[in-house]
Amino acid sequence: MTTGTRPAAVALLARAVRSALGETIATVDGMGGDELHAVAHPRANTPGWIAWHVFRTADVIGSRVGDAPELWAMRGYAAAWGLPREGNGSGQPTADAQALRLPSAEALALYGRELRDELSETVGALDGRGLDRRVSAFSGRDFSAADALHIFVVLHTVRHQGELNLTRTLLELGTPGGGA
Amino acid sequence: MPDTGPYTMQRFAVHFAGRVMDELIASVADLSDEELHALPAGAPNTIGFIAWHVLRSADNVVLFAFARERTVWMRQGLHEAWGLPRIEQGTGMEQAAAAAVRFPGATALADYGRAVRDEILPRIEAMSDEYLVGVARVVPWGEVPRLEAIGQTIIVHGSQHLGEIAVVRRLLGRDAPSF
Repeated sequence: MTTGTRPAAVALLARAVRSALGETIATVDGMGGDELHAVAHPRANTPGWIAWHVFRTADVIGSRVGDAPELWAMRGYAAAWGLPREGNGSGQPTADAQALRLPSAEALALYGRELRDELSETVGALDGRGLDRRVSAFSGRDFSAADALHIFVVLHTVRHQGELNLTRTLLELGTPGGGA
Repeated sequence: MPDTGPYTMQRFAVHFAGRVMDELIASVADLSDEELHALPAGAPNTIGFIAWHVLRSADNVVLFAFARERTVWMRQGLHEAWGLPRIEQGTGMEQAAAAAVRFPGATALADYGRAVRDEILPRIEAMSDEYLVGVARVVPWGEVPRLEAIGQTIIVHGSQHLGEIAVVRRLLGRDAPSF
């Protein structure tokens, strides 16, 4: 990549991070407690769990890319919500994921907004060395910061957004239906 | 293209577009005809329709919108063979009409997916930086940078629909990939 196009790609990545997380925030913000914790079918994750898992995953990767503490611990969310400081829910048994309780959609959306704002700023400030730097992700694997952000923040969030949209539909919460 | 090396737009686009295409193909390839067209209670679209819609979108963007060439869909005459629209790829289709779309089988749909993947990935890999940051007219967004069109249409749009497919597969009692 030339020096002229790398900033364009960084700007696209920062925008993608902001946009992907923003959609998840908007999808859960304003939900009632029953809706946030609703189980659409026996193998489904709740809307609250999906959004929490997306935010936690992005927070973990963001902290490693930015070499800074996770917001989850730093802002006291883990303690305030009575949830573990570590972990993002990956591999959690369905029953445990369905049992996760969050204080409210507003609190979850606030965590998401703080994360989105900090992370998109961090990504937008990355230079070539920052993008190529190796960071550890999950399961002991390491990636370039750029790939980690694409895989575990943008694509991971967007894919769960698809799950979240359909879960809202199954719960009759008003997700647009029809064609695709 | 290797997973390591300098962060280039081409590497990003080929890696992630390829990943989405591979997962789409895998998500339909093991389904029976019944599962491909199943509409479990509450689900708005069948897995077959969702996968076809994403594959057609990728085919349209890289072949037609970028290169003004005939799509794989048209070259193979699948619109006639399958009795489906020549141009439209499902965006905005009425729910009942989408649910009624029938495919000749998971193997045929997966084969179309492989043909699209094998056509578009080498093209993307060969695109210059200038070409990728240059704009193309893509319906319905208008003039957008080609990299953004690939990112939006294939990678982001495809990933979001993969999330839907995962839910429908679970509703059908099938394994779904862990994200």
